[in-house]
Amino acid sequence: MTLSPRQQNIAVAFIVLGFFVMMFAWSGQIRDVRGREFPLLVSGAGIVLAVLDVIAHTDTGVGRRIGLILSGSAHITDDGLTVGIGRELTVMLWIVVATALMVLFGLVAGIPLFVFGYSSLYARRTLRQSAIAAIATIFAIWIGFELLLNYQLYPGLLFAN
Amino acid sequence: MLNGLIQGLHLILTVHGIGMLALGVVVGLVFGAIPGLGGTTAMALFIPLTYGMQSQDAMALAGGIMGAVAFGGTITAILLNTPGTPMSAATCFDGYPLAQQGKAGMAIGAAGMSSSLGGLFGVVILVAVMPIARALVLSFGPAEFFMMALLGLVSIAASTGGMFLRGLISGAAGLMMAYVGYDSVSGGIRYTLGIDYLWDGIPLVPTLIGLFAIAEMIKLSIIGGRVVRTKEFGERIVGVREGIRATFRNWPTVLRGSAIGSVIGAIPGVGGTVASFIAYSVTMQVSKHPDRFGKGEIQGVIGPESAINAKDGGALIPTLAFGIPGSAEMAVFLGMLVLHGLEPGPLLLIEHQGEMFSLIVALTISCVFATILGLSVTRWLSLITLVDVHILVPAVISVSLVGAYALNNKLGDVIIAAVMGLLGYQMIKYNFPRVTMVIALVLGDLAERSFHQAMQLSDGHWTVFITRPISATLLVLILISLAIPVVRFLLARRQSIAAKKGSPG
Repeated sequence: MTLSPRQQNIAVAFIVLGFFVMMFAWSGQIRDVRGREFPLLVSGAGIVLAVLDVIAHTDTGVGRRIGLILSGSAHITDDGLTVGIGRELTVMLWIVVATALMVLFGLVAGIPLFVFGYSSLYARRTLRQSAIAAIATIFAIWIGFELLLNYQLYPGLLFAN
Repeated sequence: MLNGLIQGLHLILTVHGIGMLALGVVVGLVFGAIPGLGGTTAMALFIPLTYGMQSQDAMALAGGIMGAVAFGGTITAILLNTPGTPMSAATCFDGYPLAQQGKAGMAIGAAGMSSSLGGLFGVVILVAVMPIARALVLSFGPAEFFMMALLGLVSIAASTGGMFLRGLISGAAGLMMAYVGYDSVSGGIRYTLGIDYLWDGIPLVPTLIGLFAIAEMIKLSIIGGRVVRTKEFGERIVGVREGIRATFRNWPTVLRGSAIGSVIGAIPGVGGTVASFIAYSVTMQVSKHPDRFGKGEIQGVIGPESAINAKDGGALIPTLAFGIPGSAEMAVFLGMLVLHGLEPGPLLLIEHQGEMFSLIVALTISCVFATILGLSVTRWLSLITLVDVHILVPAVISVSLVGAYALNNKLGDVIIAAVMGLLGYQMIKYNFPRVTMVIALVLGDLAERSFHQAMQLSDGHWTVFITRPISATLLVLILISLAIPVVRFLLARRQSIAAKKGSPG
């Protein structure tokens, strides 16, 4: 099932509304009055804005009018980002993979693994090109951070001790 | 002030200072030349590297980047008709036709020189206004600071074109993010889910790295291909001196563009793109030959280029004096100041005069240095834009994550950067401006603290925000900012009705 841009925007608007409702409820539970006063104000305002955003993306007269006044138009204009959800998820998954590799195996091993994997599996570069990219990246990072700036690159959870 | 300038010069003119400035200029030119990267990404990526540095060296690096980014974007705008940064788009109108006529060197020379002169003009304005701003800020109380923070958020949301509502939503979400962790007002802990790491709040720099550097990489990766899809250039760049001479011949255009850039730069949220387009439009309107514009008129390059670099001086006024960043780039710069223990606001201009003037000196030198360096590497800079996205993306993501970790050696920072990268991409896709979120994150604590202090001083009376003259003025400005979208809508409707009435049949 594919959602139209309008449906996607409404879904996003509902998620945002849910976020502010949750924050409002959470803020109300803060014991100290001064500690909860401002977050309640902000999350309350957020709820109002999010409701307006939901309405602005509906195909109704009021929605269109709110969309035009407060957003110029409720239609989305997305710099060529109308690609399949699969591709988007794949790229986002690569960010998760990069983070996981660096956390688990450390920066010295995790970075080349990520660069090699991304170049060969996602970007479809040859194994040789991917290996060169991986080695060049970690070499540049090692020189920049460890050698010149004296930062100790993270060894990874698996090799921390 | 003279003492401050001498102190600034003394701090910058060291081997380290000059080295950092040069590095900043190179980084600025490269990041400026590549569409999709720009100054904000460059600054976000390089903040962690400044952590171990003296603050004046960090200012030199920042000044170098700020001064050079625009010229990097201009070179590709003229040679490839592809502005590296949105603010260089106005330069394409006449810069690219000049390049097609074989006068690329002249256009680049004029752009470089007017950009340098504009930058210097902006710095002069900054230095001139700083004492006034300092006096004004010292008259601010908590009510004024609260209103100023609110104005910063609302005016930036109002300037996001067709994203006003979602700009405000991003701002509200950014404020909520700012309240995670230790609460300086009540002394309690909020929204940490029992995670110790979050006691210090959501860290600004990893957030910036994620929202700007990583999010842009996700976007580039999804689009794929090369950064610039073009077939041309190969032509030798000649006639640079002619362009430089043309700039001096058109000095009123330089002055006009610079003045527009400085004034617009100082208004939070408006920024360089608007400044350059207004400068282009005004230059065309006052020209004796408006018909030549768009066909390769050198004034069409000089006007916007003077405005682009002049806006940095103007934009630094609210950032340094009030701690209100007027743009994403300034918000990132603010993150750098905070990282170096330089709390923006009235005390910054008094207690850290040396660092502030070192930034001003760095900005001044970088304006000239970027032009000289840019002119000598123009062709190479254009070639950078042909780099394969899939080589750029994993490298920048890796550096971003390493940078996030290097700040405090905390694994949590890496995870925050990655999460913010994913969030930032969704924000790009669904038109939620990231700049309002970042500015809210920066201003959240100031807004809450000032709000409570103002209420305490007034024994809980809300009238404190409207009875004090400066606070009331700021409130009026907030209301005007909120009314802008409505006025824009009404004007558009009136025009459309008038057009319908005017059209036959």
